Amino acid sequence: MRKILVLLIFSLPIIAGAQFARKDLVRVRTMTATNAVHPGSEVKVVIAAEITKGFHINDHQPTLDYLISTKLTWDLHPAIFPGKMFYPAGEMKTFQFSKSKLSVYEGTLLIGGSIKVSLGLMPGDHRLQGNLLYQACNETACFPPTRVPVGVKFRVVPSDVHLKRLHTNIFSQVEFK
Amino acid sequence: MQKRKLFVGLVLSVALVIGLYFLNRHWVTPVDRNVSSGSEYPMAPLFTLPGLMGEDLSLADYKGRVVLLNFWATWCGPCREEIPDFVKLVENYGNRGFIILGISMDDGPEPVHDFYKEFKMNYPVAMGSAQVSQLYGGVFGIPTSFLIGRDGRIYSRHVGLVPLSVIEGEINELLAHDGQEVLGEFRSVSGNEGANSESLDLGHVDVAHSEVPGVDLAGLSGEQKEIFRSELAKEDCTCKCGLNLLKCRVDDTSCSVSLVLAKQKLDNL
Repeated sequence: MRKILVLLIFSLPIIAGAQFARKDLVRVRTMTATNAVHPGSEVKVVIAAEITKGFHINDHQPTLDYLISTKLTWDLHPAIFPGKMFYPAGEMKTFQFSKSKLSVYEGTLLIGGSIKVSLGLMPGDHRLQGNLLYQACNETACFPPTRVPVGVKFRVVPSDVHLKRLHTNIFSQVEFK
Repeated sequence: MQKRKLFVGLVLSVALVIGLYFLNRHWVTPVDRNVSSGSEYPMAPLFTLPGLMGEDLSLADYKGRVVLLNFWATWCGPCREEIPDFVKLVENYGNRGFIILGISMDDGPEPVHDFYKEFKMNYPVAMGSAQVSQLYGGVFGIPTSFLIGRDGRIYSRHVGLVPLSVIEGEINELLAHDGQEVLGEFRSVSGNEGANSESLDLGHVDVAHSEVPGVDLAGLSGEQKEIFRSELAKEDCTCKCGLNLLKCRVDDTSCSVSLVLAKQKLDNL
């Protein structure tokens, strides 16, 4: 009991301070449609961004010019090539601070896309790194544009290895067009 | 038995100390807020920033006026909503000693210029910096406004969109006060914090201008600073930014995770 109390007392400043960090407004997970990739082939990916309750981020194609759009960017890689990314349409919502409805993302945002692996990429584990840019607000205040790192990890296996499908329920929710 | 006596004694001692504290605070030396509450409403930290029109904008130049210091950005919906109201406030109260200073948190002045014209802004705007944000305790959400009295003290802070009537009421109250002494009973009515020293933790100049933003390195020698920086560079920040602690502190001064970890490292050093 005493140990718990001491731990609580010493962790208070950290908890109190952590509430100001704005990077935690969106948590990003990535997944691939199969458990591995063949050299020279393409694999579908989904980037799932979980937006903290009470906050929203702007649509990829925001309804007003001044809004900063949500956007994925990928780092250059000599043998892994990201394809087009597909963002869902946002939800039209009214906020205290806007006379017109705004198109925003709330809850979980699923961005679909694909990455192509060059024929020469050696079997083994690989990673494509990128960033998700978002600008979050709640009902009354906004927070600075923020970039969070996004990494897609996958394994390249020889062409004769059979691939297994993963996350079918999530991939079925995403429109790849 | 011995342990129990010791425990009771300890509890009584603590109760006595607490009792004496409150006795001293409220009975023996009642606080005359108009005279002695120097820390009740902190002095607004002074700064000079590049103004939008090329001039230097210093808070000190507005001494004796009631100042609404407004942190905002062109990409911020709530800021865009309240700025037309601010323009009206300057029209209505400007000749009574009221002024608004806008601090833009945009990355560059270009969109701010366009915005200034479009919204027919009638008060000075400066481009903000991480240092000024730090001086005001860190501006984590915008709009954030500080209402400063004629005496240079911060009387209220509002984070987020606030009804015009609330701000107007506070401005009226501060304008009616000559600023010769601290306004004792000022209270924000918005539900936001009144700016007393407990709720408003302002930054220090040394901290705001530190090589490691938010961390006071004033007591360190050059060699110690170098060691501290290299220690921070060795460790990754746990905020998931993918940066080391030093880079996270420099690139993202709003990250409280790196701030807490950096301060802990400094204490250990």
